[in-house]
Amino acid sequence: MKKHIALAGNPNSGKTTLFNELTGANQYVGNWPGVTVDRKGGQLTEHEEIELQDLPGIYSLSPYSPEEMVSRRYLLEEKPDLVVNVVDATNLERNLYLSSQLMETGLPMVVALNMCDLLEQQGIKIDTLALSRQLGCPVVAVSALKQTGIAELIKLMLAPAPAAPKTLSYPAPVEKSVQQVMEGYGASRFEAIKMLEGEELLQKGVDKVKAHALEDIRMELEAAMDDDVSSIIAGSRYDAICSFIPQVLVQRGTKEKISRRLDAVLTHRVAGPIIFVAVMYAIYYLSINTVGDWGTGWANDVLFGPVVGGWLAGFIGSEAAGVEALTMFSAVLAMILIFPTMLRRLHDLNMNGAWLYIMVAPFVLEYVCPHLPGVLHSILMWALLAANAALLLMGLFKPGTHGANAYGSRTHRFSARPMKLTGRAGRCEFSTWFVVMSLVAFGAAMLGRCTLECSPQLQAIIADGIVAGVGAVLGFLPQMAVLFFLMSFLEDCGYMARVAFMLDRLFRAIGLSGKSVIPLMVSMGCGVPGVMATRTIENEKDRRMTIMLTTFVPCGAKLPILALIGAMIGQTATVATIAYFVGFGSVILGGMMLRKMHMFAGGYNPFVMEMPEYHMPQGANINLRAMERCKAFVQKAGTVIFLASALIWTLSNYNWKFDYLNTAENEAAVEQSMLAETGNLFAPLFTPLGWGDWKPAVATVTGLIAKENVVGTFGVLYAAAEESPAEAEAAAEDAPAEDELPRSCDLNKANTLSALTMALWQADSDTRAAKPAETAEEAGEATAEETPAAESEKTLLDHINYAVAVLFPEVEEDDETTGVAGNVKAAGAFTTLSALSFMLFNILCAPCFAACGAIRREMNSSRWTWFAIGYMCLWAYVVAFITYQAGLYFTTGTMGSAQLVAALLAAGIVIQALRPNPHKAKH
Amino acid sequence: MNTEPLKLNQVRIGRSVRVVRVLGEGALRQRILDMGLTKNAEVKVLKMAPFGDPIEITVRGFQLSLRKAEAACIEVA
Repeated sequence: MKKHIALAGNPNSGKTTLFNELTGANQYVGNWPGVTVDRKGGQLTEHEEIELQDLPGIYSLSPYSPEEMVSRRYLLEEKPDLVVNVVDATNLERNLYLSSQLMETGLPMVVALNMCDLLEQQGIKIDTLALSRQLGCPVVAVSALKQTGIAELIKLMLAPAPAAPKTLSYPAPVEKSVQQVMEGYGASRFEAIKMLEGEELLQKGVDKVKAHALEDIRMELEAAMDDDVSSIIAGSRYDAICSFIPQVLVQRGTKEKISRRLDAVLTHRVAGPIIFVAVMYAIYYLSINTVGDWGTGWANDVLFGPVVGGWLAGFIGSEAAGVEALTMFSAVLAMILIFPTMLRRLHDLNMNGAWLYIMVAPFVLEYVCPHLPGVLHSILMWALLAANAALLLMGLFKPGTHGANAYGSRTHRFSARPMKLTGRAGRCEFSTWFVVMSLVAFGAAMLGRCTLECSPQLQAIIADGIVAGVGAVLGFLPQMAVLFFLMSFLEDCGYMARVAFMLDRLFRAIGLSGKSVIPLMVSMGCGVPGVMATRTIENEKDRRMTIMLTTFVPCGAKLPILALIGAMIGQTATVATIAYFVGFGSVILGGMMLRKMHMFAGGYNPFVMEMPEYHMPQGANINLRAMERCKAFVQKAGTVIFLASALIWTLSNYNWKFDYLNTAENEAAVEQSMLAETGNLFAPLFTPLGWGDWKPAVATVTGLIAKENVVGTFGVLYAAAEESPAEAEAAAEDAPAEDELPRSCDLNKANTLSALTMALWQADSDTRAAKPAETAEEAGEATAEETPAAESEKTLLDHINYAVAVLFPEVEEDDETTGVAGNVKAAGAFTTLSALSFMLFNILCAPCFAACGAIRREMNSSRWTWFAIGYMCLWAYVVAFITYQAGLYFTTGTMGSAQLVAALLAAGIVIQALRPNPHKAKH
Repeated sequence: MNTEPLKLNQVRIGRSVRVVRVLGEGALRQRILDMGLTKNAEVKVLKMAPFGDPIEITVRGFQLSLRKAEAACIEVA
């Protein structure tokens, strides 16, 4: 039979880290209270008969917040065989307050005293035996991060459940009343206390007469203690705990906590907000403008250009791909495939997660810092080569520390899931996957020499439809990865709670709370985790409102739309500023308007929030989270967008009789396609917004699948209007393929993992890529030569544009979007005004399906979900309408009924936002 | 003579006080009590947020932020 064990404890007490350590599962770990919002199940590694439940963090078992409800229901109704109470040793009093309630449920309990290592740094020690005597249950000191004490904890979990723990004893009047209730109502001690506290949930079965009697008992107690019942009981619990704390703590340190000193600066009245802005700026500068953008540029110009394109042409086309393209293809593929196993191997070696970046560093060096002097460049490359080689050798041959610490000497099982991110991988597993994945990458690359010469139709759907669509989306992965990494760092170190603290006042002014800051900030990266993060808001009305507003914030996936429209208008920085201004403006106005509606009126959201200690995030933890998010992003691109791209290409290249239209050669034909005819049905709806054509209408719909799709769809739909054949030939001549590829040799050298892959097949290949004799200096020189030439071509205007782009780093054009934008512009589909209106509609209307799914999940009601989505679409329509019509009025002086309606709508919004709240909360 | 009992939101920054009683009702009151702001608990007011509203306090060895309106529910001496 399965044994059910629940992990319960305060928010931020390290439950989830412990859970991950015990089960090898992957969950979100953050250093702000309330990261786990659902309970999650998993099996104990190597002991599958034990089912572990990670309950959301709670401070008490009172039924007020959703987390408390979930935990309480599980503990009381499903009665687990054992409760592992995770107690944060640095915060003993408050953590034991929850323990005191868990003890009263009568469930067998084990206390896992976490973060003892942190406490010892402060000069304090806890006598676990004394604590165990006081609580009447086993106590184990563990460190979930350092993985100590885990074996002992597992032993306790496997052993037969201990007897139910003791209960704390309270002052005589309290004990007397509890006894009275227990006898009078046949209640357990836990129920009796909760009934005394006046909890409705437990009183339902009590009839009127008995309810009166209960009221009498409460009155008597209140009279005896001169306070009210809930204060008396909470006070009694804390007093009982405080009475034995001095016997448990061995010595008290006097060191001031580092957190306090950090906070003096980070939440300083003046410096705090400035630092916050600087931090946000740094994040977006690094991820969108510099490091991430270089990576994205590389992915678009090199990887999905000559490399994947060349491979594909060789595979299904007629011209076999060159060896350099295939080398690169194989190297990149092998790295991607081995990455997850490498992460798990590093974990097994107990090495800091930062090592993982050694694998990426050569890429960064090649494409991120192309301006490095040649000598420095080659020195770094050789250093990275050595580091990579060492890493690989360690991965292949060093025994893990796995056997030595937590789980005794047993070896762990071979995992047949090479793309799994969490858990540990041993030598055997790593070597196996290394060889297998190298062969797979090699085999895949060799397909590039097949020259299958498929039918032109199939070639077109794959190259123009799927690879173009998926490539456009995957090109954003480097930007996303940097953003995810930095966000994970912030979440992990404890800064997020400070942000909520600092900005609460501002957000309350617009009807939200400081806790809404976290969802809004996360939404700047991606709306899905943003919506999920609203769970930390206890108040249901506030939570629903935040969910409805949070996806207005332009997320990472909307950036391509901004870049596209920016490139079309030629004012990227201005467009980005408008988009962010309107996005946040919609949140503010939405908050002010919705707060006055009946359904959101009143209610009060407590802002009693713990400020967790700062700590240095664990590299492995951040890697894991960032990679989890990247994986989700790639999965979305690999599945949904893959299908959507293929579908749209098919719809736009066939008419209803399924005749192939070949839009690549005959651009006018697209007007007869199925897509055009369907789009035409919806197009009139958008005429008042200025873009009543089927192409933008279709792009909006595909944008619902994923916002990046808008650009992809434009790419496919307006590709018909692309270059004339003569231009295409000219472009092909000076395509970057030849310049870029030689670099790959150097790159491969530094990536030992990939280089070894290559060595498997390059032995019989006569390419220069196989000869490492051509050293890094060559590549360095080549780069140095290219750069001044490129510089000299820059006009003054370019410099100005660059300066603006640096000031407003949100959006940077890349060649891909510029190309699409050029095509769209050439087609004459948009005026500046209608392009703006199109962009506003697309960033504000219903978010992508993934986010809609998250909304449905968090709202927990389909009515609310539809209300939220309907509200977003309506708001998007109104904003785009007002923008377009007002723009028409100001630019052309047109004043008709449409402008009048727009003016009335704008006035209505202003009035609703500014009028006093008729349902003022009577706090 | 001041007959009004002192509330936590009126306490000057840097001062330590003791909780006398917690007013209010429902979820907010229960949360305040659960966080250890019970009778006789020692509380030190640490700082005020940049825009003047939530305050940060130390209670039972950890830091807690709460709004002034919430702090007004806590009678201290």
